[in-house]
Amino acid sequence: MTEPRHHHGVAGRQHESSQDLFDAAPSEFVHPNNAFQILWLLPQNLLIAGLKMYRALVSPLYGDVCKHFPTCSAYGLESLTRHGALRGLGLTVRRLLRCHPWAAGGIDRVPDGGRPFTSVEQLPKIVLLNHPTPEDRARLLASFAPAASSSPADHTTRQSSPAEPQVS
Amino acid sequence: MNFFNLILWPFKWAVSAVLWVFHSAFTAIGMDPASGWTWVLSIVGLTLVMRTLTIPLFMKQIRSMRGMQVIQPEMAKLQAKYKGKTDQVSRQAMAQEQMALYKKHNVNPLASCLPILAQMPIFFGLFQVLNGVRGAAERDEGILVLNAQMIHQFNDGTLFGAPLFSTLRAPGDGNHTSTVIIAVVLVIAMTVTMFISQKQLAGKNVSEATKQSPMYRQQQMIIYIFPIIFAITGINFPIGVLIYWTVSNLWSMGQQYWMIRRNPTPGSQAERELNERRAAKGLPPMGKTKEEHEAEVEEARAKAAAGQRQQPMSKKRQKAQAKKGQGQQNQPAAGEVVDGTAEDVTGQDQQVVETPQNTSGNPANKPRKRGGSGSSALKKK
Repeated sequence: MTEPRHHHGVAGRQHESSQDLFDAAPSEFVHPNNAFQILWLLPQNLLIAGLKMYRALVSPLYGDVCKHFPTCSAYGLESLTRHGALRGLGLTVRRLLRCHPWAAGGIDRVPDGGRPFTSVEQLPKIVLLNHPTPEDRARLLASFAPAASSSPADHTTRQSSPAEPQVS
Repeated sequence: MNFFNLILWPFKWAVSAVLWVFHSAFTAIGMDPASGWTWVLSIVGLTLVMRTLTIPLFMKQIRSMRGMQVIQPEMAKLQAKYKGKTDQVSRQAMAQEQMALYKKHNVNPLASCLPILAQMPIFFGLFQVLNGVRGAAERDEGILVLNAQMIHQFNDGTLFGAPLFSTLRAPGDGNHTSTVIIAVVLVIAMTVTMFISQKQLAGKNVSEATKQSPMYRQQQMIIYIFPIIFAITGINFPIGVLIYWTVSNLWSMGQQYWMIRRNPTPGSQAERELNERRAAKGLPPMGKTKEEHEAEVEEARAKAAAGQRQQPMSKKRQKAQAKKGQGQQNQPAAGEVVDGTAEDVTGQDQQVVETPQNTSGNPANKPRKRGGSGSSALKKK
């Protein structure tokens, strides 16, 4: 009985900040630093834009369809955002092939690695949506940290920072 | 030939082959091969074949929906846990837990993404074939299985004087009034059938929990935007394509209607209606055996006879009472005997105005004791 209640408490505290966290989160697009990067990042940003459009206009028509969490389009957007055009596209295609009527489904996350993030505030909107609980985000950020750093310490610093301004 | 066309080629071939088969069959039973009606019927036949092919996938989904009844109690708990948390990230957290729950019980009611994606090349292939008839006729060419002579017949076919491949913007050399009337009627039919299947039917088949999510609200908005998009793009669609689309939408509408009447989503309005119909016929609610249902009814009756009857009361009073009584308020034994009281455990210390919810769909029997409200009050502020 204590176990689920504790969990509930965490989700409840999360609720107060999750909307603000989401509103303040950066977009998925990768910002180029120079002229060469504009061209180099163009395919990735174009694919991200296309998928965002698909998610805004076409996805809602079908309702809940995907057998996985995150859904195929969310998985695709996150993998393009984190792993770039080529790997992102490959991951997306492979996920789509896994999402057939006879698949068992379940939780199926984008593999670790790719564009590194060091704090919750840096996580783009789609990464927040695909890692909706503080625990999920802590795990993701820990995966970017060098192997030596301990994940529990990481967890606490991040937990307090986004939550603090929200406490009324 | 670019990459896109290379992928579409087999689909285009299949589309032209099906059209050829239907056209030959109709000609064989004595219809005029050059008549527009023969070709219209061939398009209808093609649509029906396409949609029939997706029936096994549809049935697979229906079967997997049945497993959902098993996890209903746990789903209700999950819905109660996330009640009132309507921001996108919280809804995602709920979706994630829900998916873990499906996995745990090895059920998954969702249709999967691949079939939807697979329909796209089929549709584009069909669109390219139908859209290409006029050009091919001008160049005196065939389209894959259909030879040049058939393409000419196809292109010259008329419906009340309107050429099959005339559009609102390019009415061709046929009867312009007829083209305009038929095209407008078809665009409207296409839009209305789509709107009905999305709004009237799908709206009923959604659980109250889903209705709270931002995704659902976005979906509702899109449902209004799409008719506008259709009306605008419709002026460029040849009548033949409009026929395909309208028939296909009619099929979806029928399929949706059947599914919603027979296999509604748990916790949705459609399920309540089905259970009302079943009750009228003396059948137990969906997913329960007659014995289970009778036991529940009996329990409710015994409870009522045992002493004070639970008076129906407003949510406001419930909250006040719950605060006063904390621990000693009645714990609903079966969970669904007294709707509403059990639901409000999470709501009581929330100042937010709750969205009106019909509780009869989700029993939400919370095992949590009322003493827990102390900790939930803590988490809120």
